[in-house]
Amino acid sequence: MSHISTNSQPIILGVETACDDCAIAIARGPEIVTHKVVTESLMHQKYGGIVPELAARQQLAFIDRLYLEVLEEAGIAPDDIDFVAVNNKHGLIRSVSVGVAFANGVAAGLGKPLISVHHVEAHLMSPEIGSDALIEPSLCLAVAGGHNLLVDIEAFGKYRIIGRTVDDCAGEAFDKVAIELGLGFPGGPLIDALSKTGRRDAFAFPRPMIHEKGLNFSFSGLKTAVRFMVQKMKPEEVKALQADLAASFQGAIVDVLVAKSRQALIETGRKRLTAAGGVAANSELRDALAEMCTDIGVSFVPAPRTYCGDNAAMVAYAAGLLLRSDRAETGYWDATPSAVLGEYRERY
Amino acid sequence: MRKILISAISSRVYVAAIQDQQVVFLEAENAARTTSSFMARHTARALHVMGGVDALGVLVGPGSWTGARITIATAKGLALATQCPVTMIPTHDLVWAARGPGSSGRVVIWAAEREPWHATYQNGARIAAVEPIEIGSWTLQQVTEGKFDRKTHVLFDVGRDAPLLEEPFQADLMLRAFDIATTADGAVGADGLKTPFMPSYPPKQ
Repeated sequence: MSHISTNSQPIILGVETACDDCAIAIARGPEIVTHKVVTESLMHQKYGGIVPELAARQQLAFIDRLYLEVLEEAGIAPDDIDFVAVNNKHGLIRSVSVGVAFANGVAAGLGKPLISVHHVEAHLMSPEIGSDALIEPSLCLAVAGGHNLLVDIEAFGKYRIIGRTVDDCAGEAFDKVAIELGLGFPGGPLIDALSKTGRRDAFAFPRPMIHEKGLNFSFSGLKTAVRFMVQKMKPEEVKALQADLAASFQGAIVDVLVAKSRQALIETGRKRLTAAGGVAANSELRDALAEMCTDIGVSFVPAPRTYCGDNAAMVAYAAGLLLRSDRAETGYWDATPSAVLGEYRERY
Repeated sequence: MRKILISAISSRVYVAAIQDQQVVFLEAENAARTTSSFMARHTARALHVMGGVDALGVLVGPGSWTGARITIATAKGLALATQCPVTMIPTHDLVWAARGPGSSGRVVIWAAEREPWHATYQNGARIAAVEPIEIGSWTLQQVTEGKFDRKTHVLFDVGRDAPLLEEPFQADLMLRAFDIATTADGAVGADGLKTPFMPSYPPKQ
C-alpha cells in the first residue's frame, strides 16, 4: 500500500459492485464524464430480494461490456486513464470481490495505480459531485438498502456516525413492503410513484423511535405493521387500497427520517444538511427535508437523483477527493466489506 | 511467447510467468481472503519482468466457486487492459495433463453434488468441449460405482479429491493443460470469459 497525491485533473476509472448493481464511471477531476449502471431487478424480483450469489454472477457477466461502453462513450482510450478506483470496503462480499478483482486486473494490466474507496464515504460525498471546493461541515442523512446513517461531517475524511438503524434500513423496508403489496422489486421507486395517488393518513402506521431522545432508527416494526395490516385484509381490498397503504407506509418512514434529521441538526448545530443513498431519491422525502431545512434556516443539498442509488461516479469522485487531500491509498486490494469509515475509525 | 497462468480454484492461489516455455517465476500462497491482491500483485510483476504478455491461461474450475469468480474477474480486467487472448482451462485438462502425454480416456468432475461434467481425451488431446452429464436420480455413489468404468475413466470429485489440487503447483503441468485447452477450445477475449462450471442456482435436488 502506498500514499500518493496529485494536483492535476486526473482521469479516474471508477468501479462499483457493492450490492446488485454493476457500475463503471469515468471522472476527469471533479467532473463526471460518463457513468453507467446495470441492475438485474427482474432476476431478484423472483426471489423477493437480492440473492448475493446471483448478483455476483450477473456482475461478472456484465462488467467487461460495461467497461468498454463507458470508455467508448467517454471517448477515452485505456492508456488515458490515470487512476483506477474501486469500492473494496463495503457491501456484499461476493459482489464486492467481483469489482475488486476486475479493477485489480485492469490496474495491473494498464500499470496504473488502484485507489481504495469506501462505499459509504462515496455516498456521503455524492451530493458534492462536480464541485472542487473544500467539503463544508454538514450533517448527512445517508439512507439506502444497506446503510441508514446520520453522519456529522466535520471535513472530508472526518466523520462521526451519530445515528444508525438498530435493525432494518429504510431501503430494505421499502423493498419488503413493496413485495407485501404485490408491487415488485426494487420497492423504493414503485412505492414512491404509487404514493402520489394515495392518502398518507389512510392507515395509522407507527413512527418507530420518533419520540426517543437518541438519533437511531428502527424500521422492522413498521414493516411488520404493514404485513399484519395486509394479512387482515382480503386480497381485493389490498389491491383497491394499494396506493393508500403505500402512501401511509412511506409517510411513516419520511416522518421518522425528517424528525431525526431535524433533531440531529439542532444537536450538532450544523447549518447544512445533505442527503445521499437510494432512499434519498424519494420525492416525498426530498420535499419534506427541504421544507424542514427552510423552517429551521439550514441549507439542503441532496445528491442528484442519478447519483443516489449505487453508482461508480461517486467512487471516481471520492477517489479524486482522496487524491487531492493526500489520503489516497493505492495498491492491489481484496474485498474487506466491514472496513472503517474515515479518520474516526468507525466501523460501518 | 510470454504467458501468464493464474489459478485460484483450490485453497491456494497461483501465478506463473512463462517465457519461451521457461518458467520465469512461480508464486503460490494459501491466500484465502487475499487471493485477489496476491493474484494482481504477481501478475503485475510478471508483466513487468517479461515486458508484456502474449497469452493468458486461466483455470476456470470445477473447483472453488469464489476462487474461480475472482480468477475470471481478474482475467477480464487483464485481458481488456492488455488486449491479450485468454485460454480458459478446465480442471479436467489439468487432471489429464498429470497422466502424461499420449493417453486416452475420460475425466469426470463434480462441480456440485448433482452436477458432474466430463471430458474425453484421445492420444493426450481433448476431443470435445467439456460437457455436463445428466445423472437423473443416480446418487454420487451409484454413479461412481456403476455408471463409469474405472479402467477408462478418471473419477475426480472436487469435494473429496480437492487435496490433489493442493499439491505443489507444477508450471509444466499447467502449461500442458494450457496447450490441451487451447487446442480443444481456442482462446477468447474478455467477453468470452465465463464461469462455465458454476453450479445451478437454486441447487439441483
